[in-house]
Amino acid sequence: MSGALIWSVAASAILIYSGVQVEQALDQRAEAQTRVTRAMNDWANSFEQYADASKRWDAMMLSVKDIGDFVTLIDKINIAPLSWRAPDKLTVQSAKVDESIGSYRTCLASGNGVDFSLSSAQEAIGVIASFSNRHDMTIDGIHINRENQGVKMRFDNLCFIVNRPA
Amino acid sequence: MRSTDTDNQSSSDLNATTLPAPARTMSLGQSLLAKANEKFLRGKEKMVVACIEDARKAAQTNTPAILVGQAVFISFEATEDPSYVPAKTFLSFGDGKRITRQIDKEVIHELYDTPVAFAVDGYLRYGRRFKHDTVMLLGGAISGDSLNLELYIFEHGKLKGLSERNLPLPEHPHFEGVLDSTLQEFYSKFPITRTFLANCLPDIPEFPANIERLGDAPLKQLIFIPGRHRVSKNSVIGKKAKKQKLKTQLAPLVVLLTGLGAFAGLSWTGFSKYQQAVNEFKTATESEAVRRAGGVDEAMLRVMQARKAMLDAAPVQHAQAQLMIRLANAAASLPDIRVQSISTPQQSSYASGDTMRIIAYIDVAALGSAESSMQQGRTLAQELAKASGLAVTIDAGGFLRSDANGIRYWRMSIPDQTVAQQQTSNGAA
Repeated sequence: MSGALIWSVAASAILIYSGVQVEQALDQRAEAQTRVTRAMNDWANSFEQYADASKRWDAMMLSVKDIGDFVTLIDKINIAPLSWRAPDKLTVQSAKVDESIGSYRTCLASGNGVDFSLSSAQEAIGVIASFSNRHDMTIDGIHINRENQGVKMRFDNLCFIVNRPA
Repeated sequence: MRSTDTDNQSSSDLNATTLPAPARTMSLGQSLLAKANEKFLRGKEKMVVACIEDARKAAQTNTPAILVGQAVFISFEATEDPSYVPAKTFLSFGDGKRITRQIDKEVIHELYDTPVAFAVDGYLRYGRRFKHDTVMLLGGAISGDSLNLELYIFEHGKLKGLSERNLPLPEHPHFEGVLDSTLQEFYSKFPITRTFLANCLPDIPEFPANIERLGDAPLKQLIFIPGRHRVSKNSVIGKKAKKQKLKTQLAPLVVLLTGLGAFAGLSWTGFSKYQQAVNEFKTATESEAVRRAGGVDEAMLRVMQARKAMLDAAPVQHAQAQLMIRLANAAASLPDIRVQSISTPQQSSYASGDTMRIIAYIDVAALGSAESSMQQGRTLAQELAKASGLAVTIDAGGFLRSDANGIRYWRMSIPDQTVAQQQTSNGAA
Protein backbone atom coordinates (compact mmCIF):
# COMPACT_ATOMS: atom_id res chain seq x y z
CA MET A 1 0.00 0.00 0.00
CA SER A 2 1.47 3.34 -1.00
CA GLY A 3 2.14 6.09 1.48
CA ALA A 4 -0.41 8.36 -0.12
CA LEU A 5 -3.05 5.68 0.17
CA ILE A 6 -2.20 5.06 3.80
CA TRP A 7 -2.42 8.76 4.53
CA SER A 8 -5.66 9.08 2.63
CA VAL A 9 -7.15 6.13 4.49
CA ALA A 10 -6.04 7.66 7.78
CA ALA A 11 -7.39 11.07 6.81
CA SER A 12 -10.60 9.50 5.60
CA ALA A 13 -10.98 7.59 8.86
CA ILE A 14 -10.44 10.81 10.81
CA LEU A 15 -12.97 12.59 8.61
CA ILE A 16 -15.55 9.84 9.07
CA TYR A 17 -14.92 9.75 12.80
CA SER A 18 -15.19 13.54 12.97
CA GLY A 19 -18.36 13.39 10.90
CA VAL A 20 -19.87 10.87 13.29
CA GLN A 21 -18.89 13.06 16.23
CA VAL A 22 -20.37 16.16 14.63
CA GLU A 23 -23.52 14.29 13.69
CA GLN A 24 -23.90 12.94 17.22
CA ALA A 25 -23.27 16.34 18.80
CA LEU A 26 -25.80 18.02 16.53
CA ASP A 27 -28.23 15.17 17.08
CA GLN A 28 -27.98 15.65 20.83
CA ARG A 29 -28.54 19.36 20.46
CA ALA A 30 -31.50 18.67 18.19
CA GLU A 31 -32.96 16.28 20.75
CA ALA A 32 -32.52 18.83 23.50
CA GLN A 33 -34.17 21.44 21.31
CA THR A 34 -37.00 19.06 20.51
CA ARG A 35 -37.55 18.39 24.20
CA VAL A 36 -37.83 22.12 24.82
CA THR A 37 -40.19 22.47 21.86
CA ARG A 38 -42.29 19.56 23.10
CA ALA A 39 -42.48 21.11 26.56
CA MET A 40 -43.46 24.42 24.99
CA ASN A 41 -46.16 22.77 22.88
CA ASP A 42 -47.44 20.94 25.94
CA TRP A 43 -47.49 24.23 27.75
CA ALA A 44 -49.36 25.91 24.90
CA ASN A 45 -51.90 23.07 24.78
CA SER A 46 -52.47 23.35 28.51
CA PHE A 47 -52.74 27.10 28.19
CA GLU A 48 -55.43 26.70 25.56
CA GLN A 49 -57.16 24.14 27.74
CA TYR A 50 -57.26 26.50 30.70
CA ALA A 51 -57.82 29.70 28.74
CA ASP A 52 -61.63 29.56 28.84
CA ALA A 53 -61.66 28.87 32.55
CA SER A 54 -59.28 31.76 33.05
CA LYS A 55 -61.59 34.07 31.15
CA ARG A 56 -64.53 32.90 33.23
CA TRP A 57 -62.46 33.46 36.32
CA ASP A 58 -61.59 37.02 35.40
CA ALA A 59 -65.22 37.77 34.67
CA MET A 60 -66.53 36.07 37.78
CA MET A 61 -64.22 37.29 40.48
CA LEU A 62 -64.81 40.62 42.15
CA SER A 63 -62.68 43.59 41.25
CA VAL A 64 -61.97 46.46 43.56
CA LYS A 65 -59.32 49.10 43.64
CA ASP A 66 -58.48 48.29 47.20
CA ILE A 67 -58.64 44.72 48.29
CA GLY A 68 -59.54 45.89 51.80
CA ASP A 69 -62.52 47.85 50.54
CA PHE A 70 -65.06 45.59 52.20
CA VAL A 71 -67.89 48.05 51.72
CA THR A 72 -67.62 47.62 47.97
CA LEU A 73 -67.18 43.91 48.42
CA ILE A 74 -70.32 43.57 50.49
CA ASP A 75 -72.08 45.72 47.97
CA LYS A 76 -70.92 43.48 45.18
CA ILE A 77 -72.47 40.38 46.72
CA ASN A 78 -75.79 42.04 46.04
CA ILE A 79 -77.34 42.41 49.37
CA ALA A 80 -79.10 45.62 48.34
CA PRO A 81 -82.09 44.05 46.64
CA LEU A 82 -82.76 42.05 49.76
CA SER A 83 -83.91 43.31 53.07
CA TRP A 84 -80.89 42.07 54.93
CA ARG A 85 -78.57 44.38 56.72
CA ALA A 86 -74.86 44.22 57.13
CA PRO A 87 -73.42 44.31 60.62
CA ASP A 88 -72.48 47.62 62.11
CA LYS A 89 -68.98 46.60 63.01
CA LEU A 90 -67.47 44.89 60.03
CA THR A 91 -63.74 44.55 59.75
CA VAL A 92 -61.32 43.01 57.35
CA GLN A 93 -59.90 40.01 59.12
CA SER A 94 -57.28 39.33 56.49
CA ALA A 95 -56.50 40.44 52.95
CA LYS A 96 -53.68 38.66 51.28
CA VAL A 97 -52.72 37.12 48.01
CA ASP A 98 -53.43 33.46 47.42
CA GLU A 99 -50.55 32.47 45.17
CA SER A 100 -52.15 29.19 44.17
CA ILE A 101 -54.97 30.97 42.35
CA GLY A 102 -53.17 34.20 41.63
CA SER A 103 -55.85 36.30 43.35
CA TYR A 104 -56.43 38.04 46.60
CA ARG A 105 -58.54 36.60 49.34
CA THR A 106 -60.22 39.12 51.62
CA CYS A 107 -61.87 37.64 54.72
CA LEU A 108 -64.34 39.65 56.79
CA ALA A 109 -65.36 39.37 60.38
CA SER A 110 -67.76 41.09 62.75
CA GLY A 111 -66.80 39.46 65.96
CA ASN A 112 -67.23 35.72 65.74
CA GLY A 113 -68.04 35.46 62.05
CA VAL A 114 -70.09 37.88 60.01
CA ASP A 115 -73.64 38.47 61.13
CA PHE A 116 -76.41 39.65 58.90
CA SER A 117 -79.97 40.43 59.92
CA LEU A 118 -82.87 39.37 57.75
CA SER A 119 -86.58 39.72 58.03
CA SER A 120 -87.48 36.06 57.62
CA ALA A 121 -86.13 32.55 57.52
CA GLN A 122 -87.40 32.21 53.97
CA GLU A 123 -85.28 35.16 52.94
CA ALA A 124 -82.25 33.60 54.70
CA ILE A 125 -82.73 30.35 52.83
CA GLY A 126 -82.97 32.34 49.60
CA VAL A 127 -79.69 34.08 50.33
CA ILE A 128 -78.03 30.79 51.18
CA ALA A 129 -79.33 29.27 47.97
CA SER A 130 -77.91 32.18 45.98
CA PHE A 131 -74.53 31.85 47.68
CA SER A 132 -74.49 28.12 47.21
CA ASN A 133 -72.99 28.24 43.72
CA ARG A 134 -70.86 31.35 43.95
CA HIS A 135 -67.18 30.74 43.34
CA ASP A 136 -66.16 34.26 44.23
CA MET A 137 -66.79 33.68 47.92
CA THR A 138 -66.09 30.96 50.41
CA ILE A 139 -68.03 30.27 53.59
CA ASP A 140 -66.82 27.84 56.16
CA GLY A 141 -69.92 27.55 58.33
CA ILE A 142 -73.51 28.83 58.18
CA HIS A 143 -75.83 29.53 61.09
CA ILE A 144 -79.41 30.73 60.99
CA ASN A 145 -81.12 31.79 64.22
CA ARG A 146 -84.68 32.89 64.61
CA GLU A 147 -84.88 36.00 66.76
CA ASN A 148 -87.73 38.14 67.96
CA GLN A 149 -87.57 40.66 65.16
CA GLY A 150 -86.52 38.38 62.38
CA VAL A 151 -83.64 36.12 61.58
CA LYS A 152 -79.94 36.46 62.20
CA MET A 153 -77.61 34.72 59.79
CA ARG A 154 -73.93 34.22 60.56
CA PHE A 155 -71.22 33.14 58.19
CA ASP A 156 -68.00 31.68 59.53
CA ASN A 157 -64.89 32.74 57.62
CA LEU A 158 -66.65 34.67 54.92
CA CYS A 159 -64.04 35.38 52.29
CA PHE A 160 -64.10 36.99 48.87
CA ILE A 161 -61.79 36.18 46.04
CA VAL A 162 -60.68 39.43 44.50
CA ASN A 163 -58.86 39.94 41.25
CA ARG A 164 -55.58 41.72 41.47
CA PRO A 165 -56.24 45.44 41.34
CA ALA A 166 -55.56 46.70 37.86
CA MET B 1 25.50 -6.27 -18.60
CA ARG B 2 23.30 -9.30 -18.42
CA SER B 3 22.46 -11.38 -21.39
CA THR B 4 18.93 -11.67 -22.60
CA ASP B 5 19.54 -14.44 -25.10
CA THR B 6 16.77 -16.89 -25.56
CA ASP B 7 18.74 -20.05 -24.97
CA ASN B 8 17.37 -21.17 -21.67
CA GLN B 9 17.70 -24.90 -22.08
CA SER B 10 19.52 -25.34 -18.79
CA SER B 11 17.13 -23.30 -16.74
CA SER B 12 14.21 -25.09 -18.34
CA ASP B 13 15.52 -28.27 -16.85
CA LEU B 14 14.79 -26.82 -13.48
CA ASN B 15 11.29 -25.67 -14.30
CA ALA B 16 8.50 -27.04 -12.18
CA THR B 17 10.88 -27.87 -9.36
CA THR B 18 9.03 -29.44 -6.46
CA LEU B 19 10.14 -27.74 -3.25
CA PRO B 20 10.50 -29.80 -0.08
CA ALA B 21 9.40 -29.19 3.53
CA PRO B 22 10.41 -26.07 5.52
CA ALA B 23 13.84 -25.66 7.03
CA ARG B 24 14.24 -25.58 10.81
CA THR B 25 16.25 -22.38 10.77
CA MET B 26 13.24 -20.22 9.96
CA SER B 27 12.15 -17.59 12.44
CA LEU B 28 8.62 -17.71 13.82
CA GLY B 29 7.48 -14.92 11.49
CA GLN B 30 9.06 -16.58 8.49
CA SER B 31 7.61 -19.88 9.49
CA LEU B 32 4.11 -18.47 9.72
CA LEU B 33 4.52 -16.66 6.43
CA ALA B 34 5.88 -19.77 4.80
CA LYS B 35 2.95 -21.83 6.05
CA ALA B 36 0.51 -19.25 4.80
CA ASN B 37 2.41 -19.23 1.52
CA GLU B 38 2.22 -22.99 1.21
CA LYS B 39 -1.51 -22.80 1.75
CA PHE B 40 -1.75 -20.10 -0.88
CA LEU B 41 0.33 -22.10 -3.37
CA ARG B 42 -1.04 -25.51 -2.45
CA GLY B 43 -0.73 -27.88 -5.36
CA LYS B 44 0.90 -25.29 -7.64
CA GLU B 45 4.15 -25.89 -9.42
CA LYS B 46 6.91 -23.29 -9.25
CA MET B 47 9.08 -22.15 -12.08
CA VAL B 48 12.66 -20.94 -11.98
CA VAL B 49 12.89 -17.67 -13.84
CA ALA B 50 16.39 -16.70 -14.78
CA CYS B 51 15.69 -14.72 -17.95
CA ILE B 52 12.91 -13.02 -19.89
CA GLU B 53 11.83 -16.20 -21.70
CA ASP B 54 11.32 -17.97 -18.40
CA ALA B 55 9.34 -14.98 -17.23
CA ARG B 56 7.03 -15.10 -20.23
CA LYS B 57 6.35 -18.77 -19.70
CA ALA B 58 5.63 -18.24 -16.03
CA ALA B 59 3.34 -15.31 -16.81
CA GLN B 60 1.43 -17.23 -19.45
CA THR B 61 0.75 -20.11 -17.12
CA ASN B 62 0.56 -17.92 -14.03
CA THR B 63 3.05 -20.22 -12.38
CA PRO B 64 4.73 -18.90 -9.23
CA ALA B 65 8.25 -17.82 -10.17
CA ILE B 66 11.53 -18.19 -8.32
CA LEU B 67 13.69 -15.29 -9.46
CA VAL B 68 17.37 -16.08 -9.86
CA GLY B 69 20.21 -15.61 -12.28
CA GLN B 70 20.08 -12.65 -14.59
CA ALA B 71 16.46 -12.00 -13.73
CA VAL B 72 17.57 -10.54 -10.44
CA PHE B 73 20.74 -8.76 -9.43
CA ILE B 74 21.77 -9.11 -5.79
CA SER B 75 24.15 -6.65 -4.18
CA PHE B 76 24.75 -4.64 -1.07
CA GLU B 77 24.37 -1.41 -3.01
CA ALA B 78 21.66 -0.40 -5.45
CA THR B 79 22.73 -0.43 -9.06
CA GLU B 80 22.39 2.50 -11.42
CA ASP B 81 21.56 0.15 -14.29
CA PRO B 82 18.36 1.56 -15.85
CA SER B 83 17.24 -1.87 -17.00
CA TYR B 84 16.81 -2.97 -13.37
CA VAL B 85 14.36 -1.80 -10.75
CA PRO B 86 14.84 -2.24 -7.02
CA ALA B 87 12.42 -4.56 -5.30
CA LYS B 88 11.08 -3.68 -1.91
CA THR B 89 12.22 -5.66 1.11
CA PHE B 90 8.93 -5.54 2.90
CA LEU B 91 8.98 -9.16 3.92
CA SER B 92 12.73 -9.69 4.32
CA PHE B 93 14.49 -10.63 7.54
CA GLY B 94 18.03 -10.43 8.92
CA ASP B 95 20.62 -10.23 6.17
CA GLY B 96 17.81 -10.06 3.69
CA LYS B 97 17.28 -6.47 4.73
CA ARG B 98 20.91 -5.54 4.07
CA ILE B 99 20.89 -6.48 0.44
CA THR B 100 19.07 -5.04 -2.52
CA ARG B 101 17.23 -7.15 -5.04
CA GLN B 102 17.09 -5.54 -8.40
CA ILE B 103 14.85 -7.13 -10.93
CA ASP B 104 15.12 -7.01 -14.65
CA LYS B 105 12.46 -4.57 -15.80
CA GLU B 106 11.34 -6.75 -18.64
CA VAL B 107 11.10 -9.73 -16.35
CA ILE B 108 9.05 -8.00 -13.71
CA HIS B 109 6.93 -6.42 -16.39
CA GLU B 110 6.00 -9.89 -17.51
CA LEU B 111 5.57 -11.17 -13.97
CA TYR B 112 3.71 -8.20 -12.72
CA ASP B 113 0.66 -10.22 -11.72
CA THR B 114 2.50 -13.46 -11.01
CA PRO B 115 3.54 -14.61 -7.53
CA VAL B 116 7.29 -14.34 -7.17
CA ALA B 117 9.97 -15.38 -4.69
CA PHE B 118 13.71 -14.75 -4.61
CA ALA B 119 16.12 -17.66 -4.52
CA VAL B 120 18.49 -15.38 -2.58
CA ASP B 121 16.11 -15.50 0.39
CA GLY B 122 16.53 -19.27 0.52
CA TYR B 123 20.32 -19.00 0.25
CA LEU B 124 20.51 -16.43 3.02
CA ARG B 125 18.26 -18.46 5.28
CA TYR B 126 20.32 -21.55 4.68
CA GLY B 127 23.60 -19.73 5.36
CA ARG B 128 22.45 -18.63 8.79
CA ARG B 129 22.65 -22.14 10.17
CA PHE B 130 26.47 -22.20 10.09
CA LYS B 131 27.06 -20.47 13.41
CA HIS B 132 30.64 -21.68 13.94
CA ASP B 133 32.12 -21.76 10.43
CA THR B 134 32.91 -19.55 7.53
CA VAL B 135 31.20 -21.09 4.53
CA MET B 136 30.59 -20.20 0.91
CA LEU B 137 27.29 -20.98 -0.79
CA LEU B 138 27.12 -21.01 -4.56
CA GLY B 139 23.80 -20.23 -6.09
CA GLY B 140 22.51 -18.85 -9.35
CA ALA B 141 21.35 -20.36 -12.59
CA ILE B 142 22.14 -20.75 -16.23
CA SER B 143 20.76 -17.65 -17.88
CA GLY B 144 20.82 -17.70 -21.63
CA ASP B 145 24.38 -18.18 -22.86
CA SER B 146 26.11 -17.83 -19.53
CA LEU B 147 26.09 -19.27 -16.07
CA ASN B 148 25.18 -16.70 -13.54
CA LEU B 149 27.10 -17.63 -10.40
CA GLU B 150 26.10 -16.07 -7.09
CA LEU B 151 28.58 -16.37 -4.26
CA TYR B 152 27.55 -15.85 -0.66
CA ILE B 153 30.11 -15.90 2.16
CA PHE B 154 28.71 -16.55 5.63
CA GLU B 155 30.82 -16.04 8.71
CA HIS B 156 29.25 -17.44 11.88
CA GLY B 157 25.87 -17.34 10.18
CA LYS B 158 26.21 -13.70 9.04
CA LEU B 159 26.51 -12.66 5.42
CA LYS B 160 30.00 -11.25 4.99
CA GLY B 161 30.52 -11.33 1.28
CA LEU B 162 28.37 -11.30 -1.79
CA SER B 163 29.19 -11.43 -5.45
CA GLU B 164 27.59 -12.32 -8.72
CA ARG B 165 29.62 -13.44 -11.70
CA ASN B 166 28.78 -14.40 -15.24
CA LEU B 167 30.67 -17.52 -16.24
CA PRO B 168 30.69 -19.20 -19.61
CA LEU B 169 28.42 -22.20 -19.98
CA PRO B 170 29.78 -25.47 -18.46
CA GLU B 171 30.51 -26.94 -21.89
CA HIS B 172 32.76 -24.04 -22.71
CA PRO B 173 36.43 -25.04 -22.64
CA HIS B 174 37.30 -22.21 -20.30
CA PHE B 175 34.52 -22.88 -17.84
CA GLU B 176 36.54 -24.85 -15.32
CA GLY B 177 39.40 -22.38 -15.41
CA VAL B 178 37.16 -19.38 -14.86
CA LEU B 179 35.26 -21.20 -12.11
CA ASP B 180 38.46 -22.20 -10.36
CA SER B 181 39.92 -18.69 -10.46
CA THR B 182 36.68 -17.25 -9.22
CA LEU B 183 36.55 -19.64 -6.27
CA GLN B 184 40.19 -19.09 -5.45
CA GLU B 185 39.58 -15.40 -5.34
CA PHE B 186 37.17 -15.90 -2.50
CA TYR B 187 39.16 -18.63 -0.78
CA SER B 188 42.02 -16.18 -0.59
CA LYS B 189 39.84 -13.44 0.88
CA PHE B 190 37.91 -15.47 3.47
CA PRO B 191 38.85 -18.43 5.72
CA ILE B 192 36.29 -20.63 4.06
CA THR B 193 36.07 -24.13 5.51
CA ARG B 194 33.14 -25.51 3.52
CA THR B 195 31.58 -24.72 0.15
CA PHE B 196 28.07 -25.61 -0.92
CA LEU B 197 26.38 -25.81 -4.27
CA ALA B 198 22.66 -25.14 -4.32
CA ASN B 199 19.93 -25.18 -6.93
CA CYS B 200 19.22 -23.59 -9.28
CA LEU B 201 22.81 -24.14 -10.35
CA PRO B 202 23.12 -27.38 -12.29
CA ASP B 203 24.80 -30.22 -10.41
CA ILE B 204 27.48 -30.88 -13.01
CA PRO B 205 30.82 -32.63 -12.69
CA GLU B 206 32.67 -29.47 -13.65
CA PHE B 207 32.14 -28.25 -10.11
CA PRO B 208 34.88 -29.60 -7.86
CA ALA B 209 34.06 -32.74 -5.88
CA ASN B 210 34.81 -31.10 -2.52
CA ILE B 211 31.87 -28.76 -3.00
CA GLU B 212 28.91 -30.13 -1.07
CA ARG B 213 25.69 -30.46 -3.05
CA LEU B 214 22.56 -29.13 -1.34
CA GLY B 215 20.10 -29.57 -4.16
CA ASP B 216 16.76 -27.86 -3.43
CA ALA B 217 17.29 -27.64 0.34
CA PRO B 218 17.87 -23.85 0.45
CA LEU B 219 14.83 -23.23 -1.70
CA LYS B 220 12.42 -24.94 0.64
CA GLN B 221 9.56 -22.80 1.80
CA LEU B 222 10.35 -19.68 -0.15
CA ILE B 223 7.90 -16.91 0.55
CA PHE B 224 5.97 -16.07 -2.60
CA ILE B 225 4.45 -12.63 -2.88
CA PRO B 226 1.31 -12.55 -4.98
CA GLY B 227 2.42 -10.21 -7.74
CA ARG B 228 3.30 -6.50 -7.98
CA HIS B 229 4.34 -6.20 -4.35
CA ARG B 230 8.05 -6.32 -4.58
CA VAL B 231 8.80 -3.55 -7.02
CA SER B 232 8.10 0.13 -6.94
CA LYS B 233 5.05 0.53 -9.12
CA ASN B 234 6.32 3.80 -10.51
CA SER B 235 9.42 2.04 -11.81
CA VAL B 236 7.66 -0.48 -13.99
CA ILE B 237 7.03 0.63 -17.50
CA GLY B 238 4.15 -0.73 -19.50
CA LYS B 239 0.42 -0.57 -19.99
CA LYS B 240 -0.40 -2.57 -16.93
CA ALA B 241 1.89 -0.44 -14.84
CA LYS B 242 0.43 2.74 -16.22
CA LYS B 243 -3.01 1.53 -15.40
CA GLN B 244 -1.81 0.53 -12.01
CA LYS B 245 -0.05 3.87 -11.62
CA LEU B 246 -3.28 5.65 -12.41
CA LYS B 247 -5.11 3.44 -9.95
CA THR B 248 -2.39 4.08 -7.42
CA GLN B 249 -2.75 7.80 -7.84
CA LEU B 250 -6.52 7.76 -7.91
CA ALA B 251 -7.05 5.42 -4.99
CA PRO B 252 -5.92 7.87 -2.29
CA LEU B 253 -8.00 10.58 -3.90
CA VAL B 254 -11.06 8.33 -4.02
CA VAL B 255 -10.54 7.28 -0.41
CA LEU B 256 -10.07 10.87 0.67
CA LEU B 257 -13.12 12.00 -1.25
CA THR B 258 -15.10 9.18 0.31
CA GLY B 259 -14.01 10.39 3.73
CA LEU B 260 -14.90 13.96 2.83
CA GLY B 261 -18.23 12.83 1.49
CA ALA B 262 -18.95 10.87 4.63
CA PHE B 263 -17.95 13.84 6.76
CA ALA B 264 -20.13 16.17 4.76
CA GLY B 265 -23.03 13.73 4.72
CA LEU B 266 -22.91 13.02 8.41
CA SER B 267 -22.49 16.69 9.27
CA TRP B 268 -25.34 17.63 6.97
CA THR B 269 -27.57 14.96 8.52
CA GLY B 270 -26.83 16.29 12.00
CA PHE B 271 -27.24 19.88 10.89
CA SER B 272 -30.55 19.09 9.18
CA LYS B 273 -31.92 17.48 12.31
CA TYR B 274 -30.78 20.41 14.40
CA GLN B 275 -32.14 22.94 11.94
CA GLN B 276 -35.48 21.14 11.86
CA ALA B 277 -35.59 21.14 15.65
CA VAL B 278 -34.79 24.87 15.70
CA ASN B 279 -37.52 25.57 13.15
CA GLU B 280 -40.04 23.58 15.16
CA PHE B 281 -39.03 25.51 18.24
CA LYS B 282 -39.46 28.78 16.40
CA THR B 283 -42.92 27.71 15.26
CA ALA B 284 -43.79 26.76 18.82
CA THR B 285 -42.67 30.13 20.16
CA GLU B 286 -44.85 31.86 17.61
CA SER B 287 -47.96 29.95 18.64
CA GLU B 288 -51.07 31.88 19.61
CA ALA B 289 -50.95 30.65 23.18
CA VAL B 290 -47.36 31.70 23.76
CA ARG B 291 -47.97 35.04 22.11
CA ARG B 292 -51.05 35.72 24.26
CA ALA B 293 -49.30 34.67 27.42
CA GLY B 294 -46.25 36.73 26.56
CA GLY B 295 -44.01 33.72 26.94
CA VAL B 296 -43.93 30.40 28.64
CA ASP B 297 -44.69 30.73 32.30
CA GLU B 298 -45.13 27.55 34.29
CA ALA B 299 -46.31 29.47 37.35
CA MET B 300 -49.04 31.08 35.26
CA LEU B 301 -50.09 27.67 34.02
CA ARG B 302 -50.29 26.32 37.57
CA VAL B 303 -52.48 29.27 38.56
CA MET B 304 -54.73 28.72 35.54
CA GLN B 305 -54.94 25.04 36.36
CA ALA B 306 -55.87 25.79 39.97
CA ARG B 307 -58.48 28.28 38.84
CA LYS B 308 -60.03 25.80 36.44
CA ALA B 309 -60.06 23.10 39.10
CA MET B 310 -61.72 25.52 41.49
CA LEU B 311 -64.34 26.57 38.94
CA ASP B 312 -65.04 22.97 37.92
CA ALA B 313 -65.59 21.92 41.52
CA ALA B 314 -68.58 22.99 43.59
CA PRO B 315 -67.90 25.95 45.92
CA VAL B 316 -66.87 24.94 49.41
CA GLN B 317 -70.13 26.27 50.89
CA HIS B 318 -72.26 24.41 48.36
CA ALA B 319 -72.74 21.21 50.40
CA GLN B 320 -73.50 23.11 53.58
CA ALA B 321 -75.96 25.39 51.86
CA GLN B 322 -77.76 22.50 50.19
CA LEU B 323 -77.95 20.63 53.47
CA MET B 324 -79.34 23.65 55.21
CA ILE B 325 -81.95 24.21 52.48
CA ARG B 326 -82.92 20.55 52.59
CA LEU B 327 -83.41 20.65 56.36
CA ALA B 328 -85.36 23.89 56.22
CA ASN B 329 -87.69 22.57 53.52
CA ALA B 330 -88.22 19.31 55.42
CA ALA B 331 -89.00 21.14 58.64
CA ALA B 332 -91.39 23.43 56.78
CA SER B 333 -93.31 20.40 55.59
CA LEU B 334 -93.99 19.35 59.16
CA PRO B 335 -96.76 21.60 60.57
CA ASP B 336 -96.07 20.72 64.21
CA ILE B 337 -92.46 21.82 64.13
CA ARG B 338 -91.05 25.31 64.28
CA VAL B 339 -87.41 25.71 63.41
CA GLN B 340 -85.49 27.86 65.88
CA SER B 341 -82.05 27.58 64.30
CA ILE B 342 -80.05 25.62 61.80
CA SER B 343 -76.31 25.62 61.74
CA THR B 344 -73.54 23.86 59.94
CA PRO B 345 -70.30 23.79 61.92
CA GLN B 346 -67.10 25.12 60.46
CA GLN B 347 -65.59 22.51 58.25
CA SER B 348 -62.18 23.30 59.68
CA SER B 349 -63.44 22.19 63.10
CA TYR B 350 -63.71 18.60 61.94
CA ALA B 351 -61.01 16.30 63.07
CA SER B 352 -60.02 13.50 60.74
CA GLY B 353 -60.48 10.85 63.43
CA ASP B 354 -64.01 11.86 64.42
CA THR B 355 -66.12 8.73 64.86
CA MET B 356 -69.39 10.60 64.61
CA ARG B 357 -69.04 13.78 62.64
CA ILE B 358 -72.02 16.11 62.96
CA ILE B 359 -72.57 18.12 59.81
CA ALA B 360 -75.56 20.12 61.00
CA TYR B 361 -77.63 20.95 64.02
CA ILE B 362 -81.24 21.92 63.97
CA ASP B 363 -83.07 23.36 66.95
CA VAL B 364 -86.83 22.82 66.79
CA ALA B 365 -89.79 23.72 68.97
CA ALA B 366 -93.19 22.02 69.26
CA LEU B 367 -96.14 22.04 71.53
CA GLY B 368 -95.64 19.47 74.27
CA SER B 369 -97.65 16.26 73.96
CA ALA B 370 -98.63 13.52 76.36
CA GLU B 371 -95.41 11.73 75.57
CA SER B 372 -92.33 12.38 77.56
CA SER B 373 -90.17 15.16 76.20
CA MET B 374 -87.49 12.72 75.02
CA GLN B 375 -89.99 10.39 73.42
CA GLN B 376 -91.70 13.29 71.69
CA GLY B 377 -88.28 14.56 70.55
CA ARG B 378 -87.41 11.13 69.08
CA THR B 379 -90.77 11.03 67.29
CA LEU B 380 -90.17 14.47 65.79
CA ALA B 381 -86.63 13.50 64.81
CA GLN B 382 -87.99 10.46 62.97
CA GLU B 383 -90.53 12.64 61.16
CA LEU B 384 -87.83 15.11 60.21
CA ALA B 385 -85.57 12.32 59.04
CA LYS B 386 -88.37 10.89 56.94
CA ALA B 387 -89.17 14.27 55.41
CA SER B 388 -85.54 15.23 54.69
CA GLY B 389 -84.12 11.84 53.85
CA LEU B 390 -81.32 12.58 56.29
CA ALA B 391 -80.28 10.74 59.43
CA VAL B 392 -81.62 12.91 62.28
CA THR B 393 -80.67 11.93 65.79
CA ILE B 394 -81.38 13.24 69.23
CA ASP B 395 -79.25 12.25 72.17
CA ALA B 396 -79.90 12.29 75.89
CA GLY B 397 -79.04 15.98 76.11
CA GLY B 398 -81.14 16.82 73.10
CA PHE B 399 -84.12 18.10 75.05
CA LEU B 400 -83.27 21.71 75.85
CA ARG B 401 -86.20 23.11 77.80
CA SER B 402 -89.92 23.80 77.86
CA ASP B 403 -91.43 27.23 78.37
CA ALA B 404 -94.42 28.45 80.28
CA ASN B 405 -96.63 28.02 77.21
CA GLY B 406 -95.90 24.34 77.09
CA ILE B 407 -93.60 24.66 74.13
CA ARG B 408 -90.81 22.16 74.17
CA TYR B 409 -87.38 22.78 72.58
CA TRP B 410 -84.98 20.14 71.24
CA ARG B 411 -81.58 20.08 69.57
CA MET B 412 -81.22 17.44 66.90
CA SER B 413 -78.05 16.40 65.12
CA ILE B 414 -77.42 15.32 61.56
CA PRO B 415 -74.40 13.01 61.45
CA ASP B 416 -72.26 12.66 58.35
CA GLN B 417 -73.80 9.64 56.66
CA THR B 418 -70.75 9.16 54.50
CA VAL B 419 -68.62 8.64 57.59
CA ALA B 420 -71.29 6.48 59.22
CA GLN B 421 -71.58 4.26 56.11
CA GLN B 422 -67.84 3.98 55.87
CA GLN B 423 -67.62 2.91 59.50
CA THR B 424 -70.42 0.37 58.96
CA SER B 425 -68.70 -1.14 55.93
CA ASN B 426 -65.39 -1.24 57.77
CA GLY B 427 -67.05 -3.00 60.69
CA ALA B 428 -68.66 -5.52 58.35
CA ALA B 429 -65.35 -6.22 56.72
